[in-house]
Amino acid sequence: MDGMSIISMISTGLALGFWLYSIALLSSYLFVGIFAMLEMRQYMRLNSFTDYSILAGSSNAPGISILAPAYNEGATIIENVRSLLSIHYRNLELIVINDGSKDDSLTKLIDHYQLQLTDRFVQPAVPTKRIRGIYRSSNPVFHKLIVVDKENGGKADALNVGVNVSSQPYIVCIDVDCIIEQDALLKMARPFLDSGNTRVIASGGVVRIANGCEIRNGRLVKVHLPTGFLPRAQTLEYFRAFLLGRMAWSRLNALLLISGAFGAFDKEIMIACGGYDHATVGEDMELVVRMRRYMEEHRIPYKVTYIPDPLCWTEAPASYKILGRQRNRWTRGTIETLSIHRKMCFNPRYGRLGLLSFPYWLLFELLAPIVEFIGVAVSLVLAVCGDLNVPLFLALLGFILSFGILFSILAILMEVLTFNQYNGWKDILRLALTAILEPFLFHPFIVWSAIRGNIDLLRKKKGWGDMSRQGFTSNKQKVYAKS
Amino acid sequence: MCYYYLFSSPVAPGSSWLATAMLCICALLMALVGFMLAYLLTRKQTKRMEERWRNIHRELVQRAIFWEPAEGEPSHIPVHAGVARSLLIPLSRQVMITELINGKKGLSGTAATNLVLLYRQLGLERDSLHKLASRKWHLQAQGIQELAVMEQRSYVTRLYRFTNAHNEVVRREAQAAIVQLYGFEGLRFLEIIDTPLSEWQQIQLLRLLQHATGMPPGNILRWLDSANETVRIFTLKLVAEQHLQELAPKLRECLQDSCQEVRLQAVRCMRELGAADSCPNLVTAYPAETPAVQLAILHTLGHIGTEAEVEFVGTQLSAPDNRIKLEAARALVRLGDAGLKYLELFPFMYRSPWNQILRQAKTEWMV
Amino acid sequence: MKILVAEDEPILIRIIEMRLKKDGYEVLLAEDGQQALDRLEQGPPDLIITDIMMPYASGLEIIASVRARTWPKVPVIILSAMGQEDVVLEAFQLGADDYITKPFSPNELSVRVRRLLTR
Repeated sequence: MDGMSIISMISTGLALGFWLYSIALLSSYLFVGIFAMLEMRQYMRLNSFTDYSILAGSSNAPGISILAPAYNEGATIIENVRSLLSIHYRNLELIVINDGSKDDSLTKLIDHYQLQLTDRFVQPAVPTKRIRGIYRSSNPVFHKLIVVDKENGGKADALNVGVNVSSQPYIVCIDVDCIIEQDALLKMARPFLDSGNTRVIASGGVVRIANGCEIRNGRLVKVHLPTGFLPRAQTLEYFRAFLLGRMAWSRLNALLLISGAFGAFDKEIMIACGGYDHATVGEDMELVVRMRRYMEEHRIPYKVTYIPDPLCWTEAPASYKILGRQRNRWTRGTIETLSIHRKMCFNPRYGRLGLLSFPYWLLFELLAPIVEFIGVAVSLVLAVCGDLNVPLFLALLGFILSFGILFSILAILMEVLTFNQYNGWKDILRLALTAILEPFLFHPFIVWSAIRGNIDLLRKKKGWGDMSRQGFTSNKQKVYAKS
Repeated sequence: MCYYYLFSSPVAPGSSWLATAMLCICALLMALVGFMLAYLLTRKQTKRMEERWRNIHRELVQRAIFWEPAEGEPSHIPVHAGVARSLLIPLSRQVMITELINGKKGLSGTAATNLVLLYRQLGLERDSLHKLASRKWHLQAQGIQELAVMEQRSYVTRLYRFTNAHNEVVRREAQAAIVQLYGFEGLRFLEIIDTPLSEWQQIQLLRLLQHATGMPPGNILRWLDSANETVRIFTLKLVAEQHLQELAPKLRECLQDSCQEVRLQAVRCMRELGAADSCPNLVTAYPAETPAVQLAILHTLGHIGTEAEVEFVGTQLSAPDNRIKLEAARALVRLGDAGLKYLELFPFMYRSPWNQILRQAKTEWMV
Repeated sequence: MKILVAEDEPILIRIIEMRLKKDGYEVLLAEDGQQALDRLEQGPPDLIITDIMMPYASGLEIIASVRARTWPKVPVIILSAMGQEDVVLEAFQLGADDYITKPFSPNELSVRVRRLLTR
């Protein structure tokens, strides 16, 4: 066999691999689109006649602790807490965890909510940094509020303290700077009550983008489409991720990720698997994977559910610099999580999780930017050498681009047919235009940030130590958008 | 977008094939965008129509609420010809139904009676019945809800049939409807269901029974012996919520139940009823119990216990589990002077973690 | 006599308005909690009727806001679908003067308003 034929065989093999990969990726999009639509229809129908307010006053509704970790949020903390306190839910405890802020967050809280140091024995169910003090209000209006002051330890550590302090069976983790709708907990609690014999261990919520929206007294008054291109592209990206991706995966009970910005958990299971891991930057995803793994290994029937209503709104990064940092971190978080639990991959013992979700994440979330990057690089090299089949290249590029845009349009359609938060056809056309521009202006940057995340992780960049001090204001929800 | 470097490869499809596929997708794209815009437009139109009808209908609904029948005339609420004509349109009828339902849910007395009268007078129950006949589960459920809110007892047999429906949601709404119409009597279905009552459904039923009049039927005892554990749990919640004191002795038997959740509810229920004479049973059951039930027992003893239980609760201060220690301390604080005295004499009172636990228990009590 | 009514169900707020107007009161309407709080900025009404679960601010916040001011005591009636003992107790603890559970009768509401205003 001469050298030429070996090279030709390798290249044929590679080509076959790439085509199979592409076909698998495209069919996964199709599956996501179809499953998401089926699941969404079912959910909307159920919602159409459900009266959620019956939970609001019921003493039989399960107790929930909201955990809101705060780091240097002094500017908005009073408003944010006020808005969280007005959430409609009876058996509620709001735990604000001051993670060693360097600003005046704590004094502001103490003054405004008439807080007093209180004696509270904290069961160290999960090991954490030291608690400096626990405060409660002397005013009965704020009886749901508990403020914990602790030494700085990062978001995961702050949440673990919250888990230890909490006295309720369910935990809802939020970012304190998010705007949570008042009926959010009524909807989030529902799946836990509706589960029958399978235990619901966690329930994820949607994160929506608040840039450009009208906000008053910590409440969202009017929804507007963001004016800047970057937040608008993220709006679209979140539609794809939350209205299509998560919806489809939840139908299969194969969700691996619940946004750190808004998710509900069964505290008992959370403690049984040791709470949040503060050694990873992707603590939200890692926890869900670990909880699922725990349930699979103990052979307990369980579910992770998902609520698509727009209940949580957040400010998205509006500059490339911050966005890049965010995506870099998400990439590292995903890689870390998947490598911690690599044992599950293709392992039939973990059922759908091991055979479907995990490989999907590995192949299409983690590897996609890398494959794409290499593809672009090789094409460039080929083009320079004059070896590129230009018509085929263009046809293929056009095909892939139009398919990607189609997926985005489908996501917009889902929004229009369901919650339709935006104002009429002008906003929808602007979103559609964003969908067309996004693959050229936004997507390459996202791929590049992911590549940077990979490189940083390979270099073992000592960035983690800084995490806690840097705070988590920008450590937002995760969306793994598809495009 | 990573696939485009394998161009000369033999397995790659030709560019013309791809171009065709692309054109198809683009056409689909345009069609989707077009559909979306058309949808938005028609929806805006519909919303406007609904709004217009809502304003007209509201006027009628308000008049109906304050309407008083004239002496000796048949009860008939006067309806303007314009409104009557608009009610030939299905959308307009649905708007009217929604308005009536929203009003009916919030109102009682003659106001509510008049709304039901108007519903019948306009023949809107036909719409609701039509939904029942639909094959779509969400429409069936909606129809059931409408008939129940509007107190259409004459259709109870049709509704009752749905309590056995194949679809879980429909079944659930039908159960709720029967309870809404017949109060405690409506709970008869508890004797026959073999599917679990979800917690959500339990909460919904308890809520519906909140304003129910009349006494719970005698067969409540049978429900406590039901083979369906969710029925036993629900019954215990009902006993607690309705303060059915006479069932207190029966609760003691529930402490022997095989299902933990039932035992837990029974303990909670004893607290609600203040069944102080059950305390010895709780103490006896305690050692063999799971931690969750033990915590509940201590909590209940704190509320309904007497001096006789102080000694027992006190021993739990030495339990290895800190949660038990805390709950025991709370109970002792609640048990009054004897409990406090026990705490004073407790040998480890000033050692960690007891010192913190006791301080928390005392602060909580003071609040 | 000015009465502030805070209720987010459109049909109910109109019914209450009609009933109270019939009794000769001046009625201020607030269709959500924030509107009610804004209304309070303009000075004390003679009586407040409020729902508990409303958008933007709850009825309990409205009571707290009224009671935190230096006004002569303004009676507050809570009109809520939540009838559980502990909810009612909490409302009274915060300073409510009366508690009516939905479904309610407009005529009964009218009687209770009159009783509170002539006390």
